[in-house]
Amino acid sequence: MTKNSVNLLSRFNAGSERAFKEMFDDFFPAACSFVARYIPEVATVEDVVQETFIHIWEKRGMFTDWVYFKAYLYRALYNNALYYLRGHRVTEEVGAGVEDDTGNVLDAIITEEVRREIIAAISKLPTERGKIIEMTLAGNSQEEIARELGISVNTVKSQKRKAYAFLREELKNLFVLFWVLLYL
Amino acid sequence: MEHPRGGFLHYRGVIHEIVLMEKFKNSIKIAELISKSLRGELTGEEQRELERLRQEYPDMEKVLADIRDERKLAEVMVSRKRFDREKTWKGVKKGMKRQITPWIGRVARYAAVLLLPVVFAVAFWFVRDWKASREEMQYVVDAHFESGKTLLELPGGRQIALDTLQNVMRELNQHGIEVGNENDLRYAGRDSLDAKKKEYHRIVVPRGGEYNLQLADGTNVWLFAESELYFPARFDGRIREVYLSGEGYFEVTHDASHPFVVKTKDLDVKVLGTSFNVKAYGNMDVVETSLVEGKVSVKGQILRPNMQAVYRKSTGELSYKSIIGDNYRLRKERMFVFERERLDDILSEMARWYDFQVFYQNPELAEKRFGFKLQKYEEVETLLHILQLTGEVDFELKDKVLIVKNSVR
Repeated sequence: MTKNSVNLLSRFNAGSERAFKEMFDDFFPAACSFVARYIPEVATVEDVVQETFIHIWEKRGMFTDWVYFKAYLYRALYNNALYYLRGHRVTEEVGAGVEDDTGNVLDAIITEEVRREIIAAISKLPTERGKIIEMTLAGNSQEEIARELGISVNTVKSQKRKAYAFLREELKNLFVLFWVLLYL
Repeated sequence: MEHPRGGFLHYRGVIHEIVLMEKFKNSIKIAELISKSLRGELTGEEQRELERLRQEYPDMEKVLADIRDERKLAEVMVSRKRFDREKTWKGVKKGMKRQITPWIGRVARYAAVLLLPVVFAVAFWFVRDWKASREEMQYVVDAHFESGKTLLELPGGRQIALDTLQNVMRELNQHGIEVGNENDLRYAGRDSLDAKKKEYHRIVVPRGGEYNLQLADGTNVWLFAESELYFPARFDGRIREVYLSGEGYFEVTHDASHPFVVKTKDLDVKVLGTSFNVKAYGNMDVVETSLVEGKVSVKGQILRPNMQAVYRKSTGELSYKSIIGDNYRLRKERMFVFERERLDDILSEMARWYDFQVFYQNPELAEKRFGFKLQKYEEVETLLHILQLTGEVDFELKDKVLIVKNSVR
């Protein structure tokens, strides 16, 4: 953890609303996709995430490090999602499988957290480059991307190269994961 | 919709919670290692750690394949745009101003509701040795431990300390409250309340106990060990009055036309919509009123936030000292918070929670000052160990008698 983020956590613990907002922004998308694994409705997912963050705010002061904070956050998200499912279960089968799902939850946390870091790196790209990477990842060809964005195939190529150089810097080993980016 | 609320200690067993939390922490650690490896920042040691985890963690290959799947990543990037960050943040901000602690509001609206005292474990805590001559030493300890008490397991896997449960049931029955399944506590006597009759209820919190209740006007009270609260099931008349002996943390619902008064044997605290802590134990010479936010008046004197009024019964003197109000707020989060306090004051507080007598081998030890913040838990040994780590004191616990000794270190 960087010095900066250590500082962020201690400012949050001391009751800084700005620090809390920063943390909310960092974790909001990951929190939503985590909860969305259990609950399909967008509005409900937002509600669960909202209540969890309110709860986290009330617990400020007790987070001694980031591992504990993150574990607590996911734990609370998971419990709140379960709580919702219990209360709104239509039949016994719905959500029943979720109850004893610890292994999957633990896997999900790892995936969400690593993705959070990767997406954070990608989102640092300028808009067009970010869009190109996103579309490339989704399996679009360069021609399709060029057509969609109204730019030339050559621009797509050069933007992609720049984006890739940037990502390689941000996430040095990312290219191992996203070999697709190598085919410029 | 009714919101699902935070706080997960209410429907899971204590032990189960600790083990699960450790597993969650482990997942986070693995995620941090993988992210670090992506950024090319792993040290040799961390590299080996990741290799080891890769062997040990059963689903590691599955997880890595999942992360590597760029289609899924793209899907996630697109699908997360569905969620409205600004709207949710607005909701969070609103909730931050909410006086009522979330999960309580859901349970009951009319009269007092008791929540089970939850005994639980610590994950992290720290102790500071406040000795003036030294700069704040800080001990960071990562510990977890298991309950020594008999646990009762209910259908659904919920575990409750047996003696606590019996106490709670007795209290609840006295107040006409049924314990429902899961974490649902209902106030059964509610319908039988005569609107015209002012019914008073009393809650007695034993040593080692802690209760949270909500009064008819929405005011929240956290009662700590060995305390009593006498209060009406409904408030009528101009003044909202409750009677306290012992210690309570109050979050009073604002209602300017109906002042709220906490009466104790020795003084009254008049409240004007606010959060504060009152400590008025019969066996202590002082009555402390600590203001977290808002405004209260004690013996005609107005207190400001982060101030504490200390009333000495023996002399009738009222003095003030400045405090960190937030530390008192944390008390209701089931934390012990002490700021540069005498060992004797700390241990008498602990004694109320853990039920022991204190004996000092050397009376000077009682005057040593310590400051720390930690979650309440069951094993007193762990707390004592923390204090011992400062190298200032030693302890020996024998048959509910705690002997405080000079440190041999």
